[in-house]
Amino acid sequence: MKLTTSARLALVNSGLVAASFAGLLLLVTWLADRFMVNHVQESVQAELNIMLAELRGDGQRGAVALIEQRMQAITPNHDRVYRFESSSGQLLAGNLDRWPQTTAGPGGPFKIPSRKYPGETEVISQWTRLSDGGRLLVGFDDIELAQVRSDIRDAALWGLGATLLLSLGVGFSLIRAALKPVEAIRAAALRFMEGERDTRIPVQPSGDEFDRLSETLNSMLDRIDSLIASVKGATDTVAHDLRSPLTRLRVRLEAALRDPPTSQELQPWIEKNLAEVDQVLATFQALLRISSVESSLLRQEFAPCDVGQLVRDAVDYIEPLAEEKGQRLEVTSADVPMVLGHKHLLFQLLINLLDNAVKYAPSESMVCIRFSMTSVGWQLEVADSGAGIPTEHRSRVFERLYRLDASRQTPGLGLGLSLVKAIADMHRASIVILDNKPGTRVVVTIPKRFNEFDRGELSSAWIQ
Amino acid sequence: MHLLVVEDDADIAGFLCKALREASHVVDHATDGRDGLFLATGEAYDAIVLDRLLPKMDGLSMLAALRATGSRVPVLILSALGHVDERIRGLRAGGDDYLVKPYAISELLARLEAITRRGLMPVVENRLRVADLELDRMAHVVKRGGEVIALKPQEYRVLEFLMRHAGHVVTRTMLLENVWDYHFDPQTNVIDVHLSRLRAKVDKAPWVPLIYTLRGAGYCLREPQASA
Repeated sequence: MKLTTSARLALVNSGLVAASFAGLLLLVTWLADRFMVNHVQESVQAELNIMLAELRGDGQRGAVALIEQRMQAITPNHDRVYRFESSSGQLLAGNLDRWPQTTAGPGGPFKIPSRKYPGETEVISQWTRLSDGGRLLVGFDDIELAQVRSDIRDAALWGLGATLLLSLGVGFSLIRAALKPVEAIRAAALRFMEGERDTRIPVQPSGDEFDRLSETLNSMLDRIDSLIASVKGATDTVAHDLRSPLTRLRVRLEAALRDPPTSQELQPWIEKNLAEVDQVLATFQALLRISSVESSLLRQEFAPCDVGQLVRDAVDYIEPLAEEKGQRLEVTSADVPMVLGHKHLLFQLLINLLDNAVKYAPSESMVCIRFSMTSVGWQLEVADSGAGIPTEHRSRVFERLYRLDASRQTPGLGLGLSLVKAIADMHRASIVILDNKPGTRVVVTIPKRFNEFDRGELSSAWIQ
Repeated sequence: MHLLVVEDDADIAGFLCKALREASHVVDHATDGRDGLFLATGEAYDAIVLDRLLPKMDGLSMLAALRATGSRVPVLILSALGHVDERIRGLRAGGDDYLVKPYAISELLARLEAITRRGLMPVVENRLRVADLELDRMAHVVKRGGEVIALKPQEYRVLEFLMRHAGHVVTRTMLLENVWDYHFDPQTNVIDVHLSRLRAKVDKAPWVPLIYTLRGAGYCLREPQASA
């Protein structure tokens, strides 16, 4: 049988309560026993002392009279034994016909079975040897002890019952109330899975563990939600952007079927269509590349990179393009420590940023590339004086296939900055687009915090 | 050349074999890895074009088995898996070059030529010469008709690569892979701009042009034709 957590907790709780209650009872019983037995023993000792005093004062007769008197005073519930015998073993006074079978010596207490309640009570006795060789024995039964024991047992049973009931009942409802948020979390998760993506777990302002958990889970749901949205958005754009060239191609093929191009037209016609197909393939290739970078699996290939050298190589590579437009590339590169990163992808990042800068900056202008070390980490800056990116578009230019209307006429897929962003993310680098007044200034910062290969160990943040 | 094409897709194989025969090669065709290995070990081919995904025995296993027999025949691997580490895996298995699908047939022809020549001329010459263009690899000096031409390091490396493959087609991707030490997506036609700058220095008038652009294929540096 499977129990709910609250039932299990309530059971465990009441079990513990019952066990500790029982332990307490055992202790109380034991203490009470000891106290009662001591008490009876002391009474017996006192009685024996009185007898001896009487014997010393009034002699044998006085003692016999006292014993007679005592025996008459025995209440019906109680059992008390006396035996006063002479040195020859003859009974002088008392209600014990025969000396009990015992190995106990004089002075030590011993027990003999009760005659009144056999099996239930015992008579705690003590004897002493008299100076004339006779023996005197006194014994009181422990009926009070039995009484107290049964009282304690009754009280304990009632108390234990009540405690069990209370701890089970109250415990169960208390625990259930405490675990109620779990049910709320479950319900919210179910609703989320069923497609209600705006569902969130209700959070009370009490700030207890469950509320903190709920807040964390809610931010996880937010993240999942935005990821789903971005994947969906990206898929839609991809589908749209790939469908357009394919549609054009299809239309042209269909038209060619009806009205085949003449032999002079054929060559350019085929070349145009091939270019279209190549464009689609290039888009696919670039998208695959971005997702492979985003998967972060390539972090395994990280190695110390001389980014200063990468900057110089990238500038050398792009420089002819700038020269064609009469632009000047100004490089400021400080001597900085190596970066733990992916050489080829960092080169790609540089190429993409420089290519954009050269593409969008006007002729005869200057493109500045600065690479330096700041207190937070390595900082790479590419600044141009082109048209710039309006503030409202700055966060969106990293989306796949997103292009500003103004740039639709220039060649490109709208994937260059998406790849830059993916590569930056992979290196845990931040990337911001600023206004260069006029133009665009892109700042990539690779934080030192996550880039600690020189300490001979990878920060645990790298190992995912 | 006597070539073996191992490719299971009938359309692609047909097209590929036809294109190779048009380029005056003798072509055999196998449709799976086992047949491919059987043919490759039985005949002396000049080069093998090997698809990576094959029925019965995949391309890399076939290649490993072939290399285990001691064969050194140049192998060009074709694959839809384009990532850098896939390429490295292909080359480690014994491939001489790796071409990602889809590819232009001109690219494939150029690379086939390059790997077969690699086998023939392992000796690296210190002095390369095409017509009156001279490149001294020890001194890093380029001369045309005795006149020293100042080149930037990058231009020098491009020219060196072209001269080492003089008379043969060099595609843009071959240049990217061999001259620049990075695996990257070149974005725009920067290579063409590099080439035109190189031309402006090496082929400037009144010299006869040596670097030719082959439409849809790439570049070729060669002796000027008698007719040109």
